[in-house]
Amino acid sequence: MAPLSNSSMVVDMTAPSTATYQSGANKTVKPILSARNVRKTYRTGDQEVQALRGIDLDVAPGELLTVMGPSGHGKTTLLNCLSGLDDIDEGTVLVDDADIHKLSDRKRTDHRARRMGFIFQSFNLIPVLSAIENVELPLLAIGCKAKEARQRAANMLDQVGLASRTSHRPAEMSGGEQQRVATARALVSEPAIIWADEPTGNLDSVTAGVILDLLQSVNAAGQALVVVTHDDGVGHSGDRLVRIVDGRIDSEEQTR
Amino acid sequence: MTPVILGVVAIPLLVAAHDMIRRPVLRRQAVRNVVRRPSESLIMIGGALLGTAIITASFIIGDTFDGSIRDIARTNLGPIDEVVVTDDRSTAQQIAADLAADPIEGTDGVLVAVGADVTISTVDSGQGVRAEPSAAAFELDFDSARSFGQDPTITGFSELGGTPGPGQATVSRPLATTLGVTTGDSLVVHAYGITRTVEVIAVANRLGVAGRTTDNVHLIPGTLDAMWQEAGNADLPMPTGFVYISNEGGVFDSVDNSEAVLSALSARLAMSPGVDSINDWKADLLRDAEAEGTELTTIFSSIGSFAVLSGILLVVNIVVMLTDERRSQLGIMRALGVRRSQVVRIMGLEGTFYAIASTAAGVSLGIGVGWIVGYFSNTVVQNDGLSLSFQFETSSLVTAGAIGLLVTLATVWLSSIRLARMNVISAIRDLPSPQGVGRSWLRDLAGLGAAALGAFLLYLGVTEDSAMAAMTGVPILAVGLIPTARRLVGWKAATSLAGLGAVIWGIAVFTVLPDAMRNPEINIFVLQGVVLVTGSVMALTANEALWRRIIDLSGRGRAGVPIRLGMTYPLARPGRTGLLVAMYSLVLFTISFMAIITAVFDEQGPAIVDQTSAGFDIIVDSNRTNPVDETELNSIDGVSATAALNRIWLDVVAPGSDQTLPVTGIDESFLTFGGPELQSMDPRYVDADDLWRAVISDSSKVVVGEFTFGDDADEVLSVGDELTIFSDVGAGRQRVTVAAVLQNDWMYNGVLTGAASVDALVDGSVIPTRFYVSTAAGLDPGDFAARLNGELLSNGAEARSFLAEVSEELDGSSAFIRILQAYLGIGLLIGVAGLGIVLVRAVRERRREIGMLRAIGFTSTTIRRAFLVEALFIAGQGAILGVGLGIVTGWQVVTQADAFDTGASSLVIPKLLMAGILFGPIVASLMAAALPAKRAAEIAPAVALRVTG
Repeated sequence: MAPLSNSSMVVDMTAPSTATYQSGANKTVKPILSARNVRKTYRTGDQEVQALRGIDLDVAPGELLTVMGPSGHGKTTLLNCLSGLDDIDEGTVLVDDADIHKLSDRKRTDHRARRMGFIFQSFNLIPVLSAIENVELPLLAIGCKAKEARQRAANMLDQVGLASRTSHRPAEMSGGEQQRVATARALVSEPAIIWADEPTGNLDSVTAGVILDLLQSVNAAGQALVVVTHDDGVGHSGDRLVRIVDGRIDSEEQTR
Repeated sequence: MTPVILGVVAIPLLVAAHDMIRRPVLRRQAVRNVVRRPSESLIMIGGALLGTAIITASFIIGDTFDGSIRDIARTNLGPIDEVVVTDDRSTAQQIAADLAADPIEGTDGVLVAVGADVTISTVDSGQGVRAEPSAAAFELDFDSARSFGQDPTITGFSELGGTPGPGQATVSRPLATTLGVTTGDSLVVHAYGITRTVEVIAVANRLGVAGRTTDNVHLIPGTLDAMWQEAGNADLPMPTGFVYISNEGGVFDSVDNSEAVLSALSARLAMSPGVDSINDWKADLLRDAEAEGTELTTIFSSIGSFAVLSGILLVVNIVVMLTDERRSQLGIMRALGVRRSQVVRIMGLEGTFYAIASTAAGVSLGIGVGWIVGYFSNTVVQNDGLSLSFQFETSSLVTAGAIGLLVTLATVWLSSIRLARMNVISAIRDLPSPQGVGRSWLRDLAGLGAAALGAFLLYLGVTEDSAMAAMTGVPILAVGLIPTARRLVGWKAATSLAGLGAVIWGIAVFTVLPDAMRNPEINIFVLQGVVLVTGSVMALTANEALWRRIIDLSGRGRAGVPIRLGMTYPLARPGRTGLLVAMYSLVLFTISFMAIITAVFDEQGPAIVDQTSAGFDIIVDSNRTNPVDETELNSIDGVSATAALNRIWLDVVAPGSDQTLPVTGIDESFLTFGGPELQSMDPRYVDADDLWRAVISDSSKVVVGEFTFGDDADEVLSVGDELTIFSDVGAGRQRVTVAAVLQNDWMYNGVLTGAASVDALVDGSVIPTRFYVSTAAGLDPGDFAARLNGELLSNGAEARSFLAEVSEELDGSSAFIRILQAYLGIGLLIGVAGLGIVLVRAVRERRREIGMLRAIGFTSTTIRRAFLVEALFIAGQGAILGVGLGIVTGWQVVTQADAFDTGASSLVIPKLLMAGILFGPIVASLMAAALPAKRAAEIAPAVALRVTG
């Protein structure tokens, strides 16, 4: 399989849609994720920090949504809460019509495994596993057979240009390579939404460009992508840019 | 040794003290590290204190045995230092008079006593009789006894009043307790076939001269002589005369003069008629006490050294984890200009705090452990008449504490030095340290040096029969060759071969070099454990790829994920995992090996009876002053056959040894059922019967046990060896040749020869005091022995079935081994605790990774199972390795080597016990892992992955 590239993919906007929503591409589709009045407060001793103060946000299938804002104003918290990694204090987050915060931990975990992928700033690869072992983890989590998982992981590494590095451990790879492995891991189970938290934050500009191209090609393949970033270039590379300030959506703009 | 250890310990302590006072920056950093994470500091202290506790407990056990045996000098001797044993009262009185008239320098008292072995029973009042067949009766003047020596309070007579009058007696407290009598009650004294009923006028505490034997009575002087004369049997020995001599000084320091006094006594009395022996009982007792205490300290510290090694490995593990965690922080400090030596000293100072705290706590815990072991040991040794009282010397605590402190400090400092050699960049970026460049020649050189040392040790093992050199030579040689061999065959093959070579050698050395390994000390088994475990762990670690294949095979699909994760982490850290596996295997190897040896011994009971009983069922030992009459014995209903043994104690000299041993005369009745089993015999005899008959008729032929002389002789005894038996009377001396060697001499008959030969040696007729009895068909030997004890009460007979005699002895050995096993169990606790600690820290280390796994869809159950699998993988490897090596070594030692005189030809595996030894630690490890596994499972992904945003 040829490596993914931005130009080689065609956006498939014929994804199932039964509701009406104006996506960034001006298509009317049912949102894959719909958050309403999401509030989250962190408490440490006597101190309370309102990280999210009533967020309303929808994500359309195949949309590339970028989230920007000053440090400490709730970007990562938003990602964690919308993906179900963290609990919320108030509000609803519907994914595939199900309120993920009303699911049991086991069902929510299973939902994440089947429908979501994650890319982190610090890669978060398992250091004792090789690249291919890291990539196949999400497949094993959803019960894929070991042989098939290994095959699909190999294909995915091939797509991100790391076919020759499958047996290397993270410590034996550069930062860019590690992030490509992390990206491959996020994509391998073909999730509907991919959450990326500062995916280029630890990379130089050239490597960041490569990762960005990779993400755009993913999005172009029809998977929704929510990217939290400080990088203005990355922020403006999506369909829609949401700015978070002080735990609220300060502004939204269509960037494409 | 203590001053040397203290001197060595003082160096790092002084450095730490200097840094504490004069280097505030280092001090602040070190103190901050200690207080910042109190739970980690406690874990470190907890890990280090266990080793110190074991060392302390070993010393305390030694002190308890030493002190308790030494205490016999106070309870059974008091002012008595030397004793001249004479044939009769008049000889003793004459000698005492001479010594009083012309005292030997350094002595301050002489006392005459007369004694005899007697049976003491209660009066038959229709409610049964209680009896003590092995008691003693003494006669002496109580006023003289009180003034014997310089301190009446140590004589045991200070509160006893006057000498008993006619028909009166004092009774020792242990005997009064056994018989259930007190002042005013009556007792019956049986001696020479005569009885005397006496009234108890006082119960004497077990102290000094009054406590000379545990079970005794004191009678009015002249009673025993009168009973002997009344018996009218000149063959019976007269009451024995004793001349007690007190040296200047107290109970214990008086022995300083013993050597000189004994020498003067010997010079004066050696050729005197009627003198049986001249002894320095107290010095001898204290020498035995010291030897016994030292031996017990050695045994427990050797066995405990497995636990200590586990403790060291645990400390190394904790320090390695701590330093790994701080690597990045220390890398930044180095980048900011902190020197390498300062890094070492910060860590060293921090470690000193831990070491001091753990030493104090470890010594305290060790006192408790020592008390517990002493308590259980007491239940075992009480059968041998020893009563243990818990005690310890301050110097022992200081030495144990110093050793514990040294071990912890050395571990911390060496780990700190290793850490300080970090590559700053890779430390800051938390990357693996680059391999050293340009040091391979140094490694090769060190390896060749080690190989040369190993070869030299092997040479010593072969030429000097040194067990320690033999055991360690080949493994050191093999390990030393790794750096060179890796160039030829690669690292994996070189390490695997060296590891396997060490294992094979550790097992086979007993067969390959039998002379060197003939009588191994316990520390050889410690070394063997280290060799086997180190070799196995080396081979396992080098072949990590094999495990990965197993993971690939077993860890399929979703269910296989916990297996994959649980095994991958330990495999990725072979050093840390190897240490943990070694901790388990070291201890379990010894426990399982001991279990096998114990089982083999236990199973040998019936076989030993067959070998040693000569076909009889019961052995009867009787009182020398009141022997059982063979005719009377034969007339008892149920006795089908008897054999009389004339057993006396004489001086016997073998090459390299001179001991007082039993010399036992036998006649043809001994051969009724063919005689005891022989291990080897002079081939000139047609068969065993031919040989036994020759021994009975030929005074120059004897049969002995292989180990009749214990470890004293140059070699174990074998056919053709020549011995000399000395006697003060009769023939005087007899040179004899060993015609056969017994399979074993469990009943301790010593030198077996013809009854007539024994009579000739002592120029008289030796009265048999030992009988072998065969019971009529259908009778239970145990029940019948109890019946004989009742019927032969007045003779002081002690009848036991051979099986009971052997079993009791075996049970005693097994009980002692079980105490050692329990002691070893402490090492196992360290292993389990170590694994728990490693997993607790692993949860912390892997927090982000766990968060990521949870994020991408792994359930909390999967995470928990992964940690349990990790615990199972490590503990399982250790347990299988330890138990497997224990079984293989047990098989080898039992069936192939002659290091143990088990007499067994096949391995006995106590299956249930071994299953417990194998699975118990695994279950305990899973339990220890349960909490960290639960914590890992509870980690919220968002919290674990949280970064600001």
